[in-house]
Amino acid sequence: MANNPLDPLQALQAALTVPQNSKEQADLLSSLRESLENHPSPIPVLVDYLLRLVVNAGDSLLKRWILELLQFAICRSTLSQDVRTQMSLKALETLAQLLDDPTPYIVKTSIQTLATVYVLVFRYLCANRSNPTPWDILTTCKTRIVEMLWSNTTNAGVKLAAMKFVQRVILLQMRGVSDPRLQNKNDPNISNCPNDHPFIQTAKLEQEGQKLMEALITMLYSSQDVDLLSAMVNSWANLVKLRPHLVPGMINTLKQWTPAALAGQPALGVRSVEKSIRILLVNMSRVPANSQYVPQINETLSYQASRMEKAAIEEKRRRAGLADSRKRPSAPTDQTSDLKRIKLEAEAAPAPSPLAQFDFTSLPAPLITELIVSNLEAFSEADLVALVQAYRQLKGIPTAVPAPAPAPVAAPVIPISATPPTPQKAIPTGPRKAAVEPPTIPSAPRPESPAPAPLTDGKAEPVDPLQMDIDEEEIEFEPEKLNEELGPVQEDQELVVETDMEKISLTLNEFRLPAPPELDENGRTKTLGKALTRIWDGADELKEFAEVIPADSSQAGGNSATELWMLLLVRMITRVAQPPEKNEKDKEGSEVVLTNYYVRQDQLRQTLCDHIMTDFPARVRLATTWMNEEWYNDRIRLAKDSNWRPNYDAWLNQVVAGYQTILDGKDRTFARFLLDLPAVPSEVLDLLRDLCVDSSSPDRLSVGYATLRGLVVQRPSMRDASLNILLELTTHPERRTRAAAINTVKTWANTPPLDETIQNFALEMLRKLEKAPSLAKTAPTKVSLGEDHEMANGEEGSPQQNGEVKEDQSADEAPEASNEPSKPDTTNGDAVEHVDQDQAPAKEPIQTPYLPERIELPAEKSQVLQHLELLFALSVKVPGFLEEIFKAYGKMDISVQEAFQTLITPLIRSLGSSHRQLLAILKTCPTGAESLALRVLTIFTEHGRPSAQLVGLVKALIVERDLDARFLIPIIAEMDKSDIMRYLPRIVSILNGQPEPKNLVRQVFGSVVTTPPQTFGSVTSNMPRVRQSELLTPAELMVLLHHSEKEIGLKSAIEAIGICFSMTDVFRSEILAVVMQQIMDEPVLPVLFLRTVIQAVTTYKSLVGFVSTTLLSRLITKKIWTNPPLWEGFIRCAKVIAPASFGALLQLPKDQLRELVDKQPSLKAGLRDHVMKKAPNKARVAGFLDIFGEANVSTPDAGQQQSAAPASTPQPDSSVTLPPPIAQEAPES
Amino acid sequence: MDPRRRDPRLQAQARADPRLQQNPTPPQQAPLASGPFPAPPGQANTYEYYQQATSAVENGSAPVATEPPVPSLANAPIDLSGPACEIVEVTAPPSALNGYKPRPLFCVVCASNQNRSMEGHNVLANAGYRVISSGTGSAVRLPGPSIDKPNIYPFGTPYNTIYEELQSKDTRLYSANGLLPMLDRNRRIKTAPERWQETRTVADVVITCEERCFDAVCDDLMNRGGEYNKSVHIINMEIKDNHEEALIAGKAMLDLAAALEGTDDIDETIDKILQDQQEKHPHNLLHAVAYY
Repeated sequence: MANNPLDPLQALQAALTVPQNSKEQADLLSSLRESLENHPSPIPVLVDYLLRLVVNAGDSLLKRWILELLQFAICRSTLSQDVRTQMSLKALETLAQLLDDPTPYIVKTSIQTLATVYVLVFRYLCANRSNPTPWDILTTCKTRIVEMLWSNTTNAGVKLAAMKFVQRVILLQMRGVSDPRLQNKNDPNISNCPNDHPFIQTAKLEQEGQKLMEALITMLYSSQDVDLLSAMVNSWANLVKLRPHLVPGMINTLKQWTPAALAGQPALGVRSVEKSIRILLVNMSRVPANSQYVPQINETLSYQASRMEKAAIEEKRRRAGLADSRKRPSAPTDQTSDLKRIKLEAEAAPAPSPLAQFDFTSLPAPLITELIVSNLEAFSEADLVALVQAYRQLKGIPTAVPAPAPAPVAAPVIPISATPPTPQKAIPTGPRKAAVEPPTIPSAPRPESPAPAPLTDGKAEPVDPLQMDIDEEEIEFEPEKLNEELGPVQEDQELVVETDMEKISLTLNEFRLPAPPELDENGRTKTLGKALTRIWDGADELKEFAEVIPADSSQAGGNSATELWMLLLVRMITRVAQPPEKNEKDKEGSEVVLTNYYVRQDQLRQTLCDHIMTDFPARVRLATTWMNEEWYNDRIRLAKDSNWRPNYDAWLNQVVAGYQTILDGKDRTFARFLLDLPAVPSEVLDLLRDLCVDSSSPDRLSVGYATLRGLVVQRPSMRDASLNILLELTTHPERRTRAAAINTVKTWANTPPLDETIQNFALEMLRKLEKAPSLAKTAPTKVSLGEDHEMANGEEGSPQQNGEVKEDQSADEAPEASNEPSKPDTTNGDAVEHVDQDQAPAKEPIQTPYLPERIELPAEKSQVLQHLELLFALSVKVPGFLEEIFKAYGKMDISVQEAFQTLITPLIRSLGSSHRQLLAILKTCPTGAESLALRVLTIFTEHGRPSAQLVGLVKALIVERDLDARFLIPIIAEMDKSDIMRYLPRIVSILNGQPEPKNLVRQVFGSVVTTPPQTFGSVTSNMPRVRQSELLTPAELMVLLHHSEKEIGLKSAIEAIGICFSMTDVFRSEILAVVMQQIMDEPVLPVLFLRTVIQAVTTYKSLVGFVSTTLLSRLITKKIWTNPPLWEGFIRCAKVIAPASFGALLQLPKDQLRELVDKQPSLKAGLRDHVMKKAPNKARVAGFLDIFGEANVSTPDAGQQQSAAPASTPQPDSSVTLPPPIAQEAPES
Repeated sequence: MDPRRRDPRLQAQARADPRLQQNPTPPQQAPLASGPFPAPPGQANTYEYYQQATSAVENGSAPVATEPPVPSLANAPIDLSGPACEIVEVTAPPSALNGYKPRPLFCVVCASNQNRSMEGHNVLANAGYRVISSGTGSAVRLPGPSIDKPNIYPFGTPYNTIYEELQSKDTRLYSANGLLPMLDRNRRIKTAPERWQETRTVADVVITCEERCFDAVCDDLMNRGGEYNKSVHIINMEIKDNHEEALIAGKAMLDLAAALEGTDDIDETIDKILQDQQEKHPHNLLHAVAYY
């Protein structure tokens, strides 16, 4: 079928010939449609022809078919855009007419088609400016369709179509992606339209689109039509996808949405809308571009999930209830939550309307007013009167007066509309208002209530119910006015509360209450007490119904209906009772009355306070309500009466002090309470500070910090003061306190506007460590200032007082510091006073009560830490600090620097050796901070190998500036061989006889030298030597030391060689032999060579053979005597290893041999013996003897020497016997 | 086997669009109620049966034609008197439409287009409604010998193929757990499971059998972009995925379809219908209006 397209005309003909609306026709048409769907090309022609049939025709199968085909062709088919646009233009007029078709289906289809037509024609008209007619038609259609959407009488299906239409209109009339590359050809929007278009006004369209969008959002919040809402939400998917800039707003909109406006709708509907929103959110979260919003979306989703779950449980309960009520057929259907059921019961007759359960309090007041008015207008006056009568009869109210009772009229829609906010207020107004006020619904006339006052006269004119509503609202919102009016009767206040509700509720035009019985003081108190008790008890009952608001909820108390009792209670104590008027005539008398009044009120307050304190965590909401009320009350009273004695501070202190003793860190209620206070007096802040430094209990500590943190974050007005306390605490001597403070503050390191203050503070602390340029001058002034010094030394006498003083000071400075953080502060008067103008820029340092004015030198490490810990903690987050640290470091005292070096370790470690900023600073390390840089370097290399970056950097640095060799030490092991060879001499040259550099060099040697293959046991080195080949062999090192002896300096070289000798596991005898061999082969011998040889042979006797036979003879062949220092060494060496050296010595030329024995006469005897013993050749022996013979003269001396020599050789420490070469070499070097 | 041959979309073109099922067609073949499948079909003639099954669907007839025809249409008078080639002005109420009444196309959707949606498809088709069905899962998943060894097929694998494969694997097991009877039923209804996301047919009412599928359908429609502007009602009936529940839900679905087809204006009355349905049947409902 699909492959053989029907001949459309033939098929159409066939369809037209069969009976209209018959099944055959339907079949034929649908097969034709299917064929056309697969082969759409004939559609334009066909539609062109068929459309004429449609106009003015009644509903029929064919008409619907034609329209559907048109819709398909325009919206969905594969026809080219041009063809579709042409079709749209042709069909436009017809579609416009069809909007008036009586058949909803036709209208619906037309709108659906127009939605795409609008887009196509718009795009066409953007380029074709000549003919405005289509645009006019379109605009008319648009207006009509939008109207349909808002109209109440439109068919649901048409509305759904209109919803989609509006979505597409919004999409079109909103600017799309501006980047031309990203623009979608199929997504025309007003950006495509030139601004100078003759008839399409983009600005206006854009505005209109905006308005439509807003209207839709309003609808989302207010509409009751669940299908429409679902449709709207579903249509939005396209909107947010194609207009990404809408996404954040949309998420917000959906986040704030609650089914409040849907109250009373069946659970199914509510859940469906929730579900649609959910699906949209999920859909949005999947778009890759929206990934940044995913956390926000997820939060919304989880919040919604819990809401839906709650609703599901409620619905389940309702179903169960429904099942019950089926068993008891008469029972009213209790539709929704318990809370609402209360109201229904009060209504006595269950309203069958589906709106009965709708909570109208969730709507804005003006809307309700409009609703009421429009509902009332729906009735003619006569009807209204009749309805009122009927209602009265129903309720058993005398019907004589046609007084307006809005209830019956509104009943079907808003049975309880006006009541919810007012009942409590209405009570006190009763007696006075009764004369003017019509019966108000809140009184909820109980059936059994009698009508004591006959209302027969016609004087009671029908009051406009609207007027009444307004009246009530005015009352509601101006409680002060109300109280003023109440003033004169305040004596009876307590009684008024007592007055029976029924009585008040009636319209009592003429009725006057009998004067209340006067009560004596006791009676009053008692009555009052009873009233309070009743309110409390009543509250308990209410609680059962109420949604339980957790004690630490952010909502202040008294917001929900069930908590209104709190307000009631609190206001009874505060605003209801008026201080007695001052009686000018009888001053004393009025004083007494006034005192009495205060005493009485204070008693009441005390009762309330006690009540709260007995279970603070549970009653925190009451406390919050109370304190807020007191605060407000104080303000309005003070405005009127300057003598008013404020209650707020006093009672707040009472509460706080009371709670402080029983404070338990686990509960957050106290923090919550403090955060909800309208004003936090300084005493409370001081209390918080005390809590923070209270090291006795971690719980109290955490309460203090949590509260301060809350104050900083949530209370901008308290921010500076609280932040200051926290900052000061960051310098507290107690480690735990300090750490907690730092952790608190640290989180804001990059959160404006807090960051600036914090960073400045940290920097100021750093500055304090710098050497004061004018210490001598400023010190005396400071001392006179006082107590800070003492305190800093550990006595924390009265941190509060000082805290206050300092707070002011630092509060003053913080902003200034933030304005010009690096400039010298000349604006500060104090600073100018103390600091000489000529001197280097210095700022009056911020002081904290925990630190001395100036750090005392030499500084203690712990005190330096107090200054620095915050800064270090922040440095991780604020890399810019590193630079400051380095800068400041250079200006510090040496003792501070030392402490600094130790303290910075964890920070540097945590930053890591590839921290870019740190490396940059190392590179540009300011003068004076080299030791810190070195410390940083050392820290990096202490535990593990430095990063390649670091090595490179240091190498560059060394080349760049002539840096201390100590910089090399940490990284030398990471260099390659040639670099090691290059830099090692510099390192070695630091040797100065002190043990410290010696150790360093020893370490360096250990790390740059490969361990020789182990010949004995398994002595392994712990040094990680990864690049063995890059390292030096021990022999190479030794040779290097000799070669560079001049560069290093002989003294240092000797020490270095000594170090080598002490590393006995590395420099073993065979290594030394290799070294000697190698050096010996050099053309020029190092000065130290023979010294080393002597050391070697004295250390290792096994080398004697090698030295005596090979080495000495080689030296002789090299004419060692030509180099005096070496020659001297040779002689000594010969002596040390005598008699093994004798054989070699005899190889010396005679002159030299003579010189030798002249210098070392002790050798003579041995040599002579040697010659005698060997005596290979008489002639030679004679020659030798000739040389030695002279020595016979001094034989005793020789004998002495001889005996001394062997004695000295076995000593391991050969240095004693070694010649002091420096004396010999002095002229040379 | 060329995978394209198993693609239902390709077959769908060969098959009649269910929208063509304007009226229950009188059975043109031998009464299918007795079925061309003497279950279980022997290996030899399976192909033939399969062909027959396909052709049965192709002709758009309900497989079981012995069901009573849809009441609303069976007795509707057909206006034969009107002039053939032009449309008459009608003053009759729009809904009457001279005896012609447009009928909604249902689409029943579950995860694998096997159990729940096919049960729904089955009962609705048997009752003469216009119905198609599909699944939203990524593949067709059927229980296997153990919980961790499910049988997984791509959408488009003919029910018959699955049937034979499972039969050859373990006839006893798959008969006992109801898979074979189910597949047998399914292959009489249509060729292969279809995937919702790939179905292009525009339905008027989509009935999903599980919230997950409801979500998937809505999400998919959002992704499609709504170019057609045509609204569609999506109704979710929460049904557990087992044969018994599917059977029970099938009856509920029948009620729902009857109510939806019985009304003159679905858009206007759907809330009421769903409300009634909710009170009558235990399945939790959800409803959304989306756009093709």
